[in-house]
Amino acid sequence: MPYIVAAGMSRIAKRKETGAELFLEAFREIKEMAEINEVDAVYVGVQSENYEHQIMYGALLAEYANLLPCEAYRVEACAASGALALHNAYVAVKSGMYKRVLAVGVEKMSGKKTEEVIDLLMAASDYYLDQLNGVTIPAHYAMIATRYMHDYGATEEDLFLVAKKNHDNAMKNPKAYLRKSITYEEYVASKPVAKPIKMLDCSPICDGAAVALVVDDTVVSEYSSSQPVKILASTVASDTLSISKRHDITTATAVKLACEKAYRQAGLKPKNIHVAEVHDAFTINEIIIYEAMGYAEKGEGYKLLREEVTTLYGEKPVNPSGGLKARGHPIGATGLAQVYELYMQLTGRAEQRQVDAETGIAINEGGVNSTAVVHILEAA
Amino acid sequence: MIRDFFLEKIKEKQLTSSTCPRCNNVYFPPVEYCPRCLNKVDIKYLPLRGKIETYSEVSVATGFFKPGYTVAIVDINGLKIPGIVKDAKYDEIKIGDEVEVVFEKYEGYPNGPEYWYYFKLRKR
Repeated sequence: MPYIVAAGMSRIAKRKETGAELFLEAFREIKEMAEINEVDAVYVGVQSENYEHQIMYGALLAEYANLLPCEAYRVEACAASGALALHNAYVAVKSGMYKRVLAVGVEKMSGKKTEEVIDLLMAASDYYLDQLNGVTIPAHYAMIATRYMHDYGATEEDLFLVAKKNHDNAMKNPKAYLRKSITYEEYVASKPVAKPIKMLDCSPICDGAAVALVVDDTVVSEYSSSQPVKILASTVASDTLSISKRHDITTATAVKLACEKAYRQAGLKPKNIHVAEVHDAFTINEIIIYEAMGYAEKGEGYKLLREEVTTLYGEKPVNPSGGLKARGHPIGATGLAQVYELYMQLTGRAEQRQVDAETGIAINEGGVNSTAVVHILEAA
Repeated sequence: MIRDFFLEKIKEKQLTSSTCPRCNNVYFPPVEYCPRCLNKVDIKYLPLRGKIETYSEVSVATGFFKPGYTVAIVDINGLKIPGIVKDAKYDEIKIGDEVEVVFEKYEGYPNGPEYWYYFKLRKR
C-alpha cells in the first residue's frame, strides 16, 4: 500500500519568487520531516506554461531539488493537475514499479493581468461551444449557481456561508493567503465577476507550491519518525468540457463517480470520513460537491451550511485550511495543497485548526468538474 | 471539413447539428462521425428558437470581449447550446424565457469566425 511519509507547502500569496523557488520552499519542509536522498520519479502538476513561459517543469524541479537524473515530467488537467501528480505517484508505487516518488503541484500566476489569467483558464473549456462565446470559467460556475438557486431554493446568503466559513478557517492557517473574516455586507457589495458570482465567491489568483512524498510499504519503516499516512484510495473520473453537454448541469457527475470509486477502494462510506478538503474554486461548487461526495442529498447541500455541519467545529469539517477560497488557489498546486492539509490534520500538526480526524478525503477538480481526482487518506 | 461547413451555414443564417442515423445521438456543433458508433452522421437544421436553461452576466472577461455581456445555455429541440444573449442584462432574464437565434459579425477573439450565432430575447 502506498503511504505519504512527508508533505510540504509554500506560503500561498501573490509572491515575488518563481515557481521553482516556491517549489523549493515546499520541498524544504519535506526535508525537515524526512531524509530524501533519491527518488525514483518526480511528477509535477502545472496548469499553464504561459504564466512563466516555461514547460519542462519535471526536469526543472528535479534539478532544483538535486534529484537528477530521475524520471521527471509534468501532468496536466487544469486545476486538478496537483492531485493528478499524486495519482501518478500512487499508481507508480502501487504497481510495484517504484518505491519512492515525489508528487509536486506548482503555479506562479500573479505575473499576469486578471484578463490574461481568465483567458488562460478558459483554455480548459470547449473552444467552439464556450470559448468563442466568451463563457469564462467563472461564468460556467455562475450558470450552475443560477440554475441551482432556481431549482433548489438556495440563496446568495448560502453562497456567502461557504465564503465566510472558509475565510474564518484561513484565519487559523498561517500559510493561507486571505486571512481575514468577511461580513455579508462586504460580500454582497463585492464586485460582480459573472452574476450571480461576485469577487467574494471566487478563489483568488495567487502563487504557491505543495509537495508530497509517496513510498511503498517495503520502505515505509525508514520514515517512521515523520508519521506516515496511508493512501486508501486514489481515483480519477472525467466529464464533458462544456457543461452544456451534461444531462444535469447542477450535478458534478465526475466528482460523484470518482468519490464512489474512492469509497469502494477504501472500503469506507461518506459517514466514515472525518475531514474533507474540497474544490471550492467558486462558492457554489462546495455546495454541489457536498452532494456529489455523499454528504448531502441532491439539492440539499446548502442546508449543511445553514446547520453549521461543515464548520471547523461541526460534525463534518470541510476545508479547515480555508479552502481554495481563502487559503488560495494557485491552480496546479491546489490538489497537493489539499493533501498537505489532510496530512497535517491526520498527523496532529494542524495547530489552531486541528480537528479530530483519522480519515480524510481530498476532492480536486479541473475545468468545470471535468476531471475529478479524489484521494482518501487514513492516519497510520 | 465539418467545422468549415458549420461556419459556412452560420454565414447563411442557419444553425446545423448532426444526428446519427444508427443510434439517433445528436451533436452540436455537428461532427462528421458519430463518436458513439463512428457512423457517418446526417446533418440537421435546427429551429432558430429556444428556451433559456440558465444564464450569467460576465463582468470580468478576457481582453478580447467587452465586459457586461450576458451568456446563456439555450435549449433548442433538446440540444443545450451556449451563446451570448444580445442586448439583455442579467436582471431582465428568467429561466424559461424564449429566445431567437440571430446571426451577426463575430465579436470576440481576433482569430475567431467571421460570422457567429447569437441569441435575442423574444418579447414576453
